Amino acid sequence: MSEPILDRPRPVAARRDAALPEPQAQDPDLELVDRWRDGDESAFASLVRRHHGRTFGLLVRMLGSREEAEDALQETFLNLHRHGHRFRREARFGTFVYRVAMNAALNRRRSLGRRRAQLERLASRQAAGDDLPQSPRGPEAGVVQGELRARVQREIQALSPNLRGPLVLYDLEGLPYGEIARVLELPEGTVKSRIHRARRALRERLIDLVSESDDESEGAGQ
Amino acid sequence: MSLRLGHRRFRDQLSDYADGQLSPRLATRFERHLASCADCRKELGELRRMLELLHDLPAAEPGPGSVDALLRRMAETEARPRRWLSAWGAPVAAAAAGLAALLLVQDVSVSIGLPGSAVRPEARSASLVAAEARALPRRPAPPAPSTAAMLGRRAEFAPATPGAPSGASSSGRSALAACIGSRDTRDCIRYHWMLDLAGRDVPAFLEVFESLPEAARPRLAGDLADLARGSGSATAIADHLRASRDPRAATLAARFAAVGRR
Repeated sequence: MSEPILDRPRPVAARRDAALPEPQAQDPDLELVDRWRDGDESAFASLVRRHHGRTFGLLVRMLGSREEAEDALQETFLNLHRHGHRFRREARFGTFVYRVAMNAALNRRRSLGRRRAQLERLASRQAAGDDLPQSPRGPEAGVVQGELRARVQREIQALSPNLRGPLVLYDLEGLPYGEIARVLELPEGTVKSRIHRARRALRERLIDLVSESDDESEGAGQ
Repeated sequence: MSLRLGHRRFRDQLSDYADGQLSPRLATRFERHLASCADCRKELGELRRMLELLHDLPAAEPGPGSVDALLRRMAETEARPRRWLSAWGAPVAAAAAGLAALLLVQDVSVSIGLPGSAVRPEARSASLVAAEARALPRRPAPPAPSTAAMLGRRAEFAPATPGAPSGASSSGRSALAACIGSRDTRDCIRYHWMLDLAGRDVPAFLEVFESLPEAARPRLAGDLADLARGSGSATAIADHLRASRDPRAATLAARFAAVGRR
């Protein structure tokens, strides 16, 4: 029996659900949102303070650059400030922040222009070809961990926005399907299918890092 | 079900299996298939290694003080006069934020009955600036000296000397109301801020004035002088400009003095 069968994965759903309360549960931001809507701008500043760290993390994942993430973060909270009245209580305020941030990230990517995209693809190919070893087995065998992470981050950026968003929210941010569906305003089934497609696409992009050698593969099947 | 079709169905379950999201019954069935399918075993191994790489990515943390910087930038951007920005540059935008905060916090715009919803965007922006001015710790060194100088004076917008022109004085308020009746609201607020600055800090006023394109300066000088005349402060500003002994102020002083004599 091969290793994967013996090592049946433990459900991660419980961890995800614990990390994020159900939308029906009391939204911890509602009091601040109400005060802000009543004209208390310091309440909005408190909301920014509460959400900016997590939103920044999401934007770095989506954009692959701290500088761009900082710009998108500002755009996110400016949009929230200007259009916060559109927030309905169907979802938690934190979900709404994520939705605005995702839109900011996607708009930002679109505005980068074709040349920038070409340069990024070129850099990605060069990095994949020149900077990394052919062996999939060896981060410890010579690749600086930072380079490895940079490569993974680049390949995430190379995914289409439709796939990158769900993957980042699920695998890096740890959101459950339902929450992602609310952030992206998509049916849960679509979210699930996009996550699976994104994982497959990313696995193929990282195949030199994740595939086993022929010998090991043969061994695993026996 | 053909063998191939069965394989495809199990392949679609790989991700769920790796996440532990299959029911025990489906997981057992999947593992049975896995035992006989090298392709699925290989793919599962690759998927797991890929997930390890993903989970190994460190969380991106914002830098220390970044939220304060963010709030400050937002406050400046929200109060920024966008049409002016292209011509006047960041120092004016930053200073205009201070002015907007002052004027709107003092409820000038409400008292003169500006149209709009209960919470207008300008008012929200200005009150955000004001809220942040209260909430944020004072920073000693914002990026540009001129911006810093002007932002630093935000709390000192009350008239420094009796008779000096000020957008917040009662005569300034009525002049502002009259101005808003005939012009764009934002322009009026900016003009009043300029007059306020001219009455208190001539070098800063000249710095802002000269940041404008040369071609735009004569018209602005004329508008400012007319507005000062309307609020009865043209002569006082002319005197203040002359007293600075700054050669750059001479022409402007003459213009203010001329309208003050009318």
